[in-house]
Amino acid sequence: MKKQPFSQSDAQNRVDQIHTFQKEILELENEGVLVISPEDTSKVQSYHSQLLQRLSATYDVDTSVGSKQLTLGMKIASLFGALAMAVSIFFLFYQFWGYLNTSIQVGTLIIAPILLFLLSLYLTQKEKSAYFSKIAALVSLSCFVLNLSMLGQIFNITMSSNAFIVWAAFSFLLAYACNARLLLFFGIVSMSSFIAMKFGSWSGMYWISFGERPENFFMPSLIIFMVPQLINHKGFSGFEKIYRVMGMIMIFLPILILSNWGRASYLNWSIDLIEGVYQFIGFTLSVSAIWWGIKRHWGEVTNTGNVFFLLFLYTKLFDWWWEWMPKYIFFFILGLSALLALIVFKRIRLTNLSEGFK
Amino acid sequence: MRKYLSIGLFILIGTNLVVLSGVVFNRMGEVTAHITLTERELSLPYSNGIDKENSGILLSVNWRTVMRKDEPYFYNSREVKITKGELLELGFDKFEENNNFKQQSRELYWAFEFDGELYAAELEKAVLQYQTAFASYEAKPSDTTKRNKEDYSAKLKREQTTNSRLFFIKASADYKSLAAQLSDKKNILIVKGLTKPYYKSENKSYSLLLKHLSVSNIMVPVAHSEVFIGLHREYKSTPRYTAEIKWGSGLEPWIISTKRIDN
Repeated sequence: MKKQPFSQSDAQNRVDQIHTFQKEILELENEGVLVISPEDTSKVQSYHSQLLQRLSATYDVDTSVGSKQLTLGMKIASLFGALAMAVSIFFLFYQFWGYLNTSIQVGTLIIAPILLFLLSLYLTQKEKSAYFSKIAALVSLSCFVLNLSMLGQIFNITMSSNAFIVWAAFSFLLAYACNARLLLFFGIVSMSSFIAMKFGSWSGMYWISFGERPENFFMPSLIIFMVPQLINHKGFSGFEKIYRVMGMIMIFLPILILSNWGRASYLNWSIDLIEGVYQFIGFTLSVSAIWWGIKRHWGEVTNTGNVFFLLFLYTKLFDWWWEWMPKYIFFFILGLSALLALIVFKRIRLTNLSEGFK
Repeated sequence: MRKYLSIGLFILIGTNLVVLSGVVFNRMGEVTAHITLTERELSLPYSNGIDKENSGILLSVNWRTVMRKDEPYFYNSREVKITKGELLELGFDKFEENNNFKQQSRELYWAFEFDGELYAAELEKAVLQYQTAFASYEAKPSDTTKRNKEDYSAKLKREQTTNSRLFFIKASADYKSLAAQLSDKKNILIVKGLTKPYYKSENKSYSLLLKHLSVSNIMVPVAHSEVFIGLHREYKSTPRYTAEIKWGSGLEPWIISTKRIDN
């Protein structure tokens, strides 16, 4: 698919920027700060009007508050529709597959994802907003998952971890072809699971038990986090954020588990030492993420770091004090810690604001 | 768009070709086992909850181990005693006595015997237990001896009519050596299964936990499904059907024929 110079979200940002600019100009004129000649006003208005029309025609962006709210509703409906259709496909096949002979079963399983894949590509070219193409793409992916898992049942095949890499590849392909973030999410989950399974197998574990050792997710999380640094995602709205947030979740969640349940670690140290080390890593990494997110203007990295910092803090406080401390004092300390965090964030924010003014 | 189209079709068609070639390879190669099992060894699926919407029939394989002497009532223990040397031979070289949680599962080859010496021995054991209980009751009738006699009578009946005759013999990391060791026996089945070692600190013994078969269900093709019409999963009935099954070179099974047993 030929990508636009910038994504739909970039176009929407430009539209929002124009509206904000128009409002601010009006305010400045009313307060007598600025007077723009009617010729200049008309020139700017005419330019903005043409630009809005062009953006609306090319990217299907919302040029009013009302249409923006409707778009949000459409996105939610599209997400639920796609998920419900995907589940429906599973149950549809389950309901009738017992009445079909093997060749029809196999034929249906192979053809369904291909047809839906072709439909999703066709709709991607036809639609500007791509709601229906995304639904078709997700249903195509679910048909492909059904395809491999049902072939496994029909022919009594031993399960293999390789199915995950194929599902990941198809999810990524559909995500990039249809600019669909939900499919990117499935692709990341499948690929990370596959890498974690392989790491588990190399360390002597049976592949399906990969979740028993949370450290198996460290390597996939780093790979996922680094993807936006290595590949430019200019034409794909929100993809970079999803890669970063998913990468962070996949590194912080295992650390959180290991900091409270050291038994699950590969390390042959004492459980207390393992938990202590992972607690330290968890706090250091979450604070670093907050700092790095602020520095690089990655809001999602800062927010994810914040969430995990608080999770590390509260699980530790719970661990130390829940048993012996009166509950009113325990919750009071939680409240105080939240206030402390608030003060710290406020100071950081003020520093950033003053830097912004400079 | 062409790039997406060609890569997508390559993934979809290529994956299916690989899977179907695996099926052909399994079925066209050497048949490693050819056995006719009955309902005793192949259970029907559950037909309640979400399963009642599933029109396909997947028969689950019932297998068992030889009952241990110290646990006379225990049917189908999934644990076999083993030595540390045997564990190392099976490839569990990272075994840690002090941490059962960290023991890692491995897929091994499991050998089974169908309706052979192990089943005959088990049946004989059940007969002897019943005879002993019956003699005790005759010598000293009481509620306890009566209950024992009834329990062992029921157990013997189950052993004769409903209990599985598919017995686990041993596990191995090497298929060829396992097949060679058992080449003189009839009705031998070798498949893959997941195992996990276990250390019991109370009596300092090692066990091998037999978690599950890698292929624990066998799909009934629609051509052979007529036999199962109107049947539901039952525990107490005498076998109502047989299924002739082959296991191919990939140790994966498929049904050749099914037959109804008229009781």
